[in-house]
Order: sequence, then C-alpha cells, then structure tokens
Amino acid sequence: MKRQNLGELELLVMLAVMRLGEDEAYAVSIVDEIRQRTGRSVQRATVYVTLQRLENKGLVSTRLGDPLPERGGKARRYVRIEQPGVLALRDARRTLRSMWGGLEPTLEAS
Amino acid sequence: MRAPAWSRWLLGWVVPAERREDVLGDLEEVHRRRVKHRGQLTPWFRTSLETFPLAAAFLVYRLREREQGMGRVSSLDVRLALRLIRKQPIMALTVILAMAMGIALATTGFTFLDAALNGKLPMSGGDRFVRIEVQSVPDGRAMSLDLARYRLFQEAESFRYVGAADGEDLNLVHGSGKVDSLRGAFITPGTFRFLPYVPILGRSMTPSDGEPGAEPVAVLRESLWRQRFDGRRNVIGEVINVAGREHTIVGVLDDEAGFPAGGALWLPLDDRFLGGSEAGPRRGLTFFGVLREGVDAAAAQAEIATLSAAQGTGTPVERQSRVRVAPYVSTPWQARVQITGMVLVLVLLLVVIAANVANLVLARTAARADELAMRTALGAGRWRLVGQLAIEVGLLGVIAAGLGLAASHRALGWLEDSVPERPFWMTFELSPRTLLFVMMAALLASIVGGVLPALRATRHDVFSTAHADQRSASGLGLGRIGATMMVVELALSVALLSGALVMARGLTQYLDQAVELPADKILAARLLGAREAPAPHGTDGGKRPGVAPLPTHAITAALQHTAGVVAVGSGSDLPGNDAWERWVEVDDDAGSSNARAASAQLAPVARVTPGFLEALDARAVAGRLFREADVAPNALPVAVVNEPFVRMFLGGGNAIGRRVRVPSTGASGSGAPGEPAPWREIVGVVPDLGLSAADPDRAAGLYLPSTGEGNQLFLALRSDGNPRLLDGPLRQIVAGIDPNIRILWVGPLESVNAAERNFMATFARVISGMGVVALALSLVCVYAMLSFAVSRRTREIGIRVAMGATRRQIARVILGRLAKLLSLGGGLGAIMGLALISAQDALWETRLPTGETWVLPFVVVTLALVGVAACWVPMRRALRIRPAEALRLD
Repeated sequence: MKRQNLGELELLVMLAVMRLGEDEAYAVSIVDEIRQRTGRSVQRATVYVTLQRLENKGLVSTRLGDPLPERGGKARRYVRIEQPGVLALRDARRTLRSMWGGLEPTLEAS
Repeated sequence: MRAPAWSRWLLGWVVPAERREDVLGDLEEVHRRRVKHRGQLTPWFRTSLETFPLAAAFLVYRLREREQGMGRVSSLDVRLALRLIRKQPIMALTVILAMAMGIALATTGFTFLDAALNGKLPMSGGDRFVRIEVQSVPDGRAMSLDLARYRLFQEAESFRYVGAADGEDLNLVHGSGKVDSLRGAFITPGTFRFLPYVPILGRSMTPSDGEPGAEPVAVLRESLWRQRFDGRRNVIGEVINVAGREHTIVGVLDDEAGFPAGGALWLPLDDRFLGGSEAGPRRGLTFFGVLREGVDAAAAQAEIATLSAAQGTGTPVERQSRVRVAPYVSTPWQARVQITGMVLVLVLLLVVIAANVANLVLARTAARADELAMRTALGAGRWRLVGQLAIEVGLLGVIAAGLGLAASHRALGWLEDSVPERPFWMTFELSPRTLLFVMMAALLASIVGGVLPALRATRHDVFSTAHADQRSASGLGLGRIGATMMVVELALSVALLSGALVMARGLTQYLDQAVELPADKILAARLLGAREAPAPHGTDGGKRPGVAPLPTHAITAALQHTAGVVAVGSGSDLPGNDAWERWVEVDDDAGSSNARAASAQLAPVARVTPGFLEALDARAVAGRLFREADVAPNALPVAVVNEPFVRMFLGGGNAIGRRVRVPSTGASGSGAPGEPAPWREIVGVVPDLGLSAADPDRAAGLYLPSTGEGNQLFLALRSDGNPRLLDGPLRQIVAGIDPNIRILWVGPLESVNAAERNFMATFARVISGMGVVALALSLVCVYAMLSFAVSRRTREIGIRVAMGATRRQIARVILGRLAKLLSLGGGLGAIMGLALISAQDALWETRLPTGETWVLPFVVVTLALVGVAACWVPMRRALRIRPAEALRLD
C-alpha cells in the first residue's frame, strides 16, 4: 500500500478523532479537542478542509448522524479512522520517535 | 437564538449540497452554545465573522473540484482521442499539417524578427553598449563625430567609457609576399576593459596600447590563429605586416569574441586622434559608449546634449548636427520596415491557416453533434465533453507542434546559411521567449479550434443545437460563426495567396532575367585603395587620412599581359549589381546647334575603362566600343548606350551620333537635372549587359568612358580558360604594385550576388510552396465546410422536393447563397490582395517585375469552382433520394 505522509494539522485532526472515538468525533468536537489539548485555536473551516483531504486520501470516512434539535434539526457528520489512517498514524509515530530519539538531553541542556 | 440569517444563506449557497447538512448544523450548534454563555449580540458578531473563512474555504474547495474535473486527463481520454483521430485520418492529417505549418511559420518568422529587431550584444553587459551617432540636422545624413565632442563625451557622467571602432578589410602581408585579405577591426584599446573576452593566449589590449607612441599591437581571433598561424603557441611576440604597418601579436581571443564586427583580428586605434589627425578622426568610425548602471540611452543622450550646448565648440558643423544615443544593435528604420513587412506576410498566412484549422475543427465537431448528444444522454457532463474535445485538438496540436518546431529548426538553419554576412550578434536561435509565444499560440489555437466549437456543440440540448444550424442565417447550414469564418477565410486566402504568388512569380522572374554573358569565362574582383597612414602628429594636422586612389591603369596594364587574360577592364559596377541611377537628358534634335534637353529621366550609368566592355565579351551592335583615345585629355565626350536605352529613350532609331547628357554628381550625390555637363555623342550601342539587376523597366542605361580613377573599383578579366586560375596572378600583381591595396572579393562573374540570388531563389520557392499549400488547404477546407453543410440539409431538400420544388429552384437557392459568400469573401480578399501586391515594392529594394494580373482572378475562380463542386455533389445526392427517405433521416 502506498505510504501516506501526514501534515501537522492532519496529524492533529487524526489524533483528535482517535481520542474522541467514532461516535463523538465531528468538526465542532474536533476543534474543541485540539484547543483543549494543545491550546491552539484552529478554525472550523480549516478542519473541514483537512477532513475532506483525509477522506479523499482514504484515511478517514464520514457518516451523517440523526437530526438533533440543538442543531436546528440538522445532523452531525461523524468521522471514523479507517485502517489506512491507523497505519499512517503508526508511521507518523515511528518517524517522529526516530527523529526525537536521543535528542532529549540536548534539548533540555540548551 | 438561531445563527444569523445571512450566514445561513451564504453558507447554504457556497457549501456543496452533500456537505450542507452538517456544516449548517455545526454553525447552528456553535452559535447556540455561544448564545447560552454570552447573550445575543456578541455571538451574532462572532458567528458572522466566522462565516467568511468558512465560505472562503468551501469556495476554494468547489473551484478546485471543478478544476480537477476539467483538468484531469486520464489515459482513457487520450486513447479515445487517438481512436477518433484514426477514425478520420485525412481530416486529422490536414489539421496536423496545417497547424504544423502555422507553428513552423510563426516560430521561424518571429525568431527572425526577434534576431533582427530585438537583438543585443551576445555577451554579459552587452545591453550597456550604446552607439553614439551624429546626424546632420537638415537631412538626417550620418556624420562623423569630431574629436572635440568625442573628448567632451568621455567626461559625461552617463558613460563608464566612450570609445570608437571601425570594422575594415585589411591586407595581411606574409613574409613570402603573399597577401591575405581579411576583415579586421581598429578599436580603442580601453574598450577591452568592458568586453568579457578572456584571451586563450597572451593578453588582450590594454589602454596603454592606445597611447601616443605605443608599439602597434595586434590581437588575433582563434580561427585566424589556427588557419594562418597553424595554432602555434609561440605566435605571441611575432611581428606581422597588416594594414600597411608592422604589428606585434600580443594575444589570441577565442571565436566567441565578436565585438565590434566579428572580424579576424583587432588593431589599436590611438586614443588621441582616433587614427586621424587634429583635423578629425579617421573616416568611417563607429562611436560607442558603455552606460553606467541605472542610466539608459535616453538619459545619456540628454546629458550629452546638455554638455554639447554648455561646453560645445560652437563650430558650424556642431550647430548643424544632432547627436543620438541608441542601443548598439538597433536596426535601421528601413530594414525594420522591410523585416516587419515580411513577417506581416507570414502572420497573414498564419491567420489563413488558423482560420482553416478552426473551420476544419468546427466542421469536425459539428459533424459529431449526434455522438455528443448520445454521450450527454448517457450522463456525460458538459465540461467532461468539452474537456474530451479539447484533448483531441490538443493532441493534434502536440503532434503538429513537434513537426512544426522540427521544420522551423531546419528553416532557421537554412536562414543562417543564407545570410552569411549578417552582424555577429544576429543569431537565428530559437529563444525561450519565441518558444513561449508558440506554445501560447498553440494553446490559443486549441482553445479557439477545440474548446469554442465544443462549447457551442454542447450548449443546452445538443439535438436542438444541431438543428438550430439548419435555420441559420447563411442558408447553407453553416451557422453564423461558420458563415463568418468562411467569408474571413475566403478573403484572407484570396488576399494572401495572390500576394504570395505574385511575389514568388516576381522573384522567379527577377532571377530568370539573366543577361547572356560568358559569365563562366569572366573573373570579377572588387578592389579598395590602401588606407592612407595618418600624418605624424604635429607635422600635418590639417589633413584627415582617407583611402588612397587606386593605380588602376598600372593594374589593368599588368593584367593585360598576363597569360590567359583575353581582355581586362575596370568599371564602377559589374553586371548583376544595380548601377547607380543618374538623371540622363537626351538631345532630341541632334542636328541643331541649340541642343535642348527634351527630357530628363533616371537611368543606370556606369563608368568603365576602355577594355571593360571587351572583358564582358560585348560586341557593338552599332558603332564602336570605347578606345584609349576616349579617355585622353581633351577628348570629345562620348557615351555608349545599350539596346534598351535606344528603344526607351531614343525611340528605337539610329542612336549613333545622337547626344546625351549626364549632369555631374552634385552635392546631394544624385546629380540633379539642369546641372552643367557636356553633351556626349553616342558612339556605340551594346546589348543589355545587366546594368540593372533584373528590373526590365530600369535596363535602359549607358556607359561613360573612364580612366579608372577613384579609390574603389570593379575589375573584369575575360579568360581563355577557367577564370579561377587568374585569381592567383591577380592577387600577385596587385600585391606587387601595392601590398596595401585591398582585394575585397574575387570570383567568377556568375557568382556576383550569388548569396543574394540564392536567398531570393529559395525564398521564392518557400513562398510559392507555402502559397500552394495554403491554397490546397483552403480548397480542402472550403470543400469540407460546404459539402458538410449541404449534406446536413439533405432532409430539408427532400421535404422541399416533396412539396414541389424543382431541382433548378433548389440549386438556385443553394448556389445563390454560395455565390453571396464567395462574392463577399472574394471581393474583400481582392481589395486586400491588391493592397498587398502594391505594398511589395516596400519590401524589396529592387523593384520586382509586376503585371501578374492573372493571379487574383485565378485564385478566386479556383475557390469558386471548388465551392460549386462542394455544394453540387451532396446536393445531387440529396435530390436523388426519395422524399420519404429524406424524412426518415435524422
């Protein structure tokens, strides 16, 4: 299978989706999750575009939930990580670990 | 409580339908959450603000989607396009050939134009070199810059350097006495500081080489060093005799070095007098400057004008002249007009080709209306179909571009060989700019030829589109676009083909009008006197050195006694060159003592020594040729005229004893009528010996006897064998008389202007070829368009027949409408063609024979016949089928 590289924002969104789980991960909750965990404010528009890109790559899939009154009768689009997405996350973790490996003393000392 | 209405409206409009539910839901959810914590107003503003990036993100997303949908080319698309090309090979081949010809023409024409008009010195910093020219105020004549202003300009802030150079034919005299004529350049040595030429041996010139009393040095070019000095590395320090002086070779520059004139060696020009004396620099110098960074030619010109006015010498010469600063490689106005005219013809041809291609593609696309309708019915989107059609035309374009660029490469190679004596900076290489232009042109052609017809064909309902054409204005079923294109194409074809064919015929006639001379027996040469050495400074400052007169008599006398020489003479012109035209007056009453000028007309006049006409093997058809006595002091003025002169100026009667007068050359150089000159008695008549290169209107001319005085002349030697064998003895004799006399050219008479004639012959062939191809293309295209259009009306014709229309009536309707188109296109084309033909004299310095009146009607009639045939064949077919069958069609 073709190796998928993840950009930083893609990685953050994927991790947020994984944390939230497939029944809770939708655009608004993803934005909240990233903000709470990282302190970074991400535009919802950016998350929509990133999710679309991830979906085009086949890393995530989406489904519409039931209409909800607090949303004016509109449904949520829930996001789920697919198997290629899991592989891409593992790949990203391995890459980052190998790059970070042995750098802790240097980083702390400087 | 709900999100702002305008936000919902905007997002509802921008967000794609499949995403609208969740995006609007998210907007609502976030807004309500905000309202819960912060009241109404702040959330309204925050949600409103948030709408912009959301809308922008989805807008960009949609645009990208569309772009990808249009731009994605799958292998399936390409395969489909190839299949369709194979299905209609003749049509595809025609389109490819037409586009290839257009691309080749455009590339070649614009590369030539670019090289000729927008050239720059091919070296780093070359764009900083400018020419400093002096023009006479009254008549714009070029003048020489005087030393005072030269020194003044050296102080100008705009220039880093001001120098001078002169490309010149020089004699290199070897120790054995052998003389080589070569092109060299005198140049102010300081120039080399600004030339990026690194010597491959020794050094280039330094400013000290131009100081008074400096030892004369010479810098060789690599090719001269290899050819004449065998590439010896110990050549440095060797003394050579060149330009009448001894010079020490100090360096060798590689062949890339071309400034100022691409010669074989450089010699120093002294900085103080520039090869002249206190009275002025040597004649014929080119003055140039190297601009400082950030200064342009206009600013430099303004500065030197101010300097001249403030500190000028105020001499009459200075007051009557104007200094102009121009880019070094600027092309003269006249040449610009000629080149632009030639390229204009090419562009017109290109437009004809483009119109043909567009028409062919239009017909091809229109013919596929049913197929497109079927594909639409099966679910293909409009953009998908347009993209598919664009790929097909694009594919044809790619093949055509490859062929066209290859053809252009060859054509440019031929051009380089055909114009050997061009400035060194003029290279006919395909520039990225031209390539970009061609690519853009091909893209445009693809869009116009492929996308526009595709858009039209896929507009709304393709069935109704296809049928709409049948109700169109033209009545031939071409549609408005097709009818307009047809008229434009006809007009351009008629205009351009007439112009091209007349030009080609004119050129061919020009070349065919060879005068019957034993040109293979005659050796011709062009000689230039030795350059006078500048007077030692301080001894004679009042005289500017010029070119010494030639010892013509000594040269011809010595050659007369050379083995193999039958006759020898010198003249101001050779057959094949255009002799200088002068005003000639004819005495129409030979018997009267009060001779009066009946008329004064321009006619070519050549001054020749006794023996020159014999050297051309001319026989007097009446009277005699020149004798030595004709050039003796106090000899009676005589003239020999040619047969055309007798016919055109003397009414064909007996010329012997009649009198002519050629006013002496006045200050203007043209010899205006009315100036005092002796009447000359005509003593002989000779055949047409080619006084004018080809123009029969200018063949009538006369010869005047001359002693051969002057500092340049043409020699003619008739040999009893191979004239090339006289080359060596000629050079030996001239070098023996004066090694500094420059032999500019030697060759058989038949090779006079050979390069020019070859160029014109090939140009004529190319123009004729292109004209024929363009005609063929137009015929194919007219036939395809009309035949297609009429065949589409089969059903309508059938119905008309069913309703009682006679064949004659139907033929009248269709052919009548065709006649309208043809007459409109042909009429416009004829007007444009006549304008083009009459503009041809501006393109060529030599007037071409005209009178090709048959060309214009020929083109119109040919196109008309093809048009009638194109309509007639499908019309007959339509008339033959039964009305019931016709109704079932479509």
